[in-house]
Amino acid sequence: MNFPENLMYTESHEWIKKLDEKTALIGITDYAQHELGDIVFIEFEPMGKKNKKDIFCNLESVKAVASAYLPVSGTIVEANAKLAKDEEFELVNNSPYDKGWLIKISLSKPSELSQLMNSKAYKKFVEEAK
Amino acid sequence: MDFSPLSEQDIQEMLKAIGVSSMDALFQDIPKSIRNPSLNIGKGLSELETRFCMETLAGKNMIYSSYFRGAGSYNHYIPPVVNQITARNEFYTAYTPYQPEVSQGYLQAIFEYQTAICNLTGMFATNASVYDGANALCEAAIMAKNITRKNQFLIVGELHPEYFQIFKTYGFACDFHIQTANLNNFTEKLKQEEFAAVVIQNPTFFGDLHNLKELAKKIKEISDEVLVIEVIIESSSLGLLKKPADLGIDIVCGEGQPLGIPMGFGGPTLGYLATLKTHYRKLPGRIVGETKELNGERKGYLLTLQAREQHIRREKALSNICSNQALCGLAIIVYLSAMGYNGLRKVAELSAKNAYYLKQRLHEIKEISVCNISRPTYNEFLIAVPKGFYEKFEELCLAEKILPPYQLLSESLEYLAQVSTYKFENNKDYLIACATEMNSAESTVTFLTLAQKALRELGGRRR
Repeated sequence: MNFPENLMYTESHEWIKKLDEKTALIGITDYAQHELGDIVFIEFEPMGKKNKKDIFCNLESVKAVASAYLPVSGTIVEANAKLAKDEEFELVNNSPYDKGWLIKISLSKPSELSQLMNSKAYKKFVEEAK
Repeated sequence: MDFSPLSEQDIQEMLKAIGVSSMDALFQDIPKSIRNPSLNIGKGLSELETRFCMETLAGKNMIYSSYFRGAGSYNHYIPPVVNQITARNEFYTAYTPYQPEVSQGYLQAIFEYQTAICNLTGMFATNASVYDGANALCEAAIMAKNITRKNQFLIVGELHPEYFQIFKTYGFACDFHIQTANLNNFTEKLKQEEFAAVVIQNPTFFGDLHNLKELAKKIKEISDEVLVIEVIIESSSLGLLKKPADLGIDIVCGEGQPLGIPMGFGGPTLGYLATLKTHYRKLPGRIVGETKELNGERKGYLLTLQAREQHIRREKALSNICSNQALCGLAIIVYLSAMGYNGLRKVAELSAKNAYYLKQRLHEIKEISVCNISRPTYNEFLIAVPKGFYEKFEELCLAEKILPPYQLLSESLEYLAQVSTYKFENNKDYLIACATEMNSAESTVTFLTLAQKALRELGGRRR
């Protein structure tokens, strides 16, 4: 199980990566994709302003459907076209932290980032959950 | 699946295995007073006595020799092969087995049913069926709400009043805002708000045929986001009419009863729901898919896209329906297979012709006017009759075992006036007459004679 150090994590198993002062990428963690199994469809919420913990997409695997929640408040400005358009959903399974990112957001409260877990804390969280 | 009760020997062996001396001992925790109490249900009857008893009860049913009423339930011919196959004990069960490892036959039958519905409607995908036509409409509306994320609906034209009622009931829980419009004012209403969908019944409750292609085009010109839901209740009309998918319809929902299911007492029937490729993931309920075996070429059938459903997605499921009308679906696929494209077309042609003849002949009667005489209709039409006529006519018809036309209920007139361009006069009663391939020339002559007789008696009484 992989827990990159340059990311912040949530208890609902999303990661967020700051690109610059205003924007960030969001995806689901390696642990989350592993638990879900092969992802066969992703339904994105429409672009626009959202609050922390709002659903931004639903991931459908062979066995379950799970919602992904925003780690922080902001405006969704982009959904990964490889997923939303080309439907290469296996990217989320094969490359959860890189090619399988889900959305890009413009942060409205960057301070919320500090409330999230770092790599070490998330790793501990996952190990305790097992 | 067969059910064989245990033999006395089985019982003794099982008791011995668990170390209990007798059945009484097994149930000792249950107080004796409530154990096997005697029930006041009479003694058992012999087969012969049962037969007499049931025949007496069945004899109370009125079996009509001919039907001039549709309004939601239609008298079409059902070839005996439909009953022959649906009554086979592999199929005739209250429970539909869905496990692919034991149910390939039933799953394939449902898959073929789905294929037939897609062929009839031209749509990309359909589900394994829902409960009835009105239920299908409500599920279509939930789909439209999920797709567009809007909750305003506009009913245009005469949607069956009972469907309207059920739509409102669903709307209460699903937060639908339902508005009504007629063909003259719907564009105005459409421009005022953002709608999830426009709901159009075709043929209408009054039997009129819409120019759906033009209607859908007009709607999409006002808003390309609004969906068009078509409701088809007299589904035999699909034998003659163009496929909804070719007319700009997004979701088609309808009643399967006219396609090989007996009228019964209004049920059980089946609702179908089909949609375009763009929306198939929002289709609720069970869907049977065809696949191949892992190590081979053999085809297999199984439920697919189940992750949208209640047993997996709980409260976020697309629908709270987790079943379907498998036996009715089977009846439909057997019926359609027996009829074929040409057979269904013939049914529709005969129904339309018989209704057209009746329409013309009724309109010739001075005191009766056919409201949609100059409009294209399928196999139903609306007639205006003098007050007092219907009661007389109904009595005469029932004496001849003829089911007379449907009389519009006064409580639905207010709603119908909103969705219709017809004007209802206070000194008239309004009836919806219907004919199918089952209405013989003789029965139509009798029907017309009785109408004349009722009018004479009515006139005599007035003088």
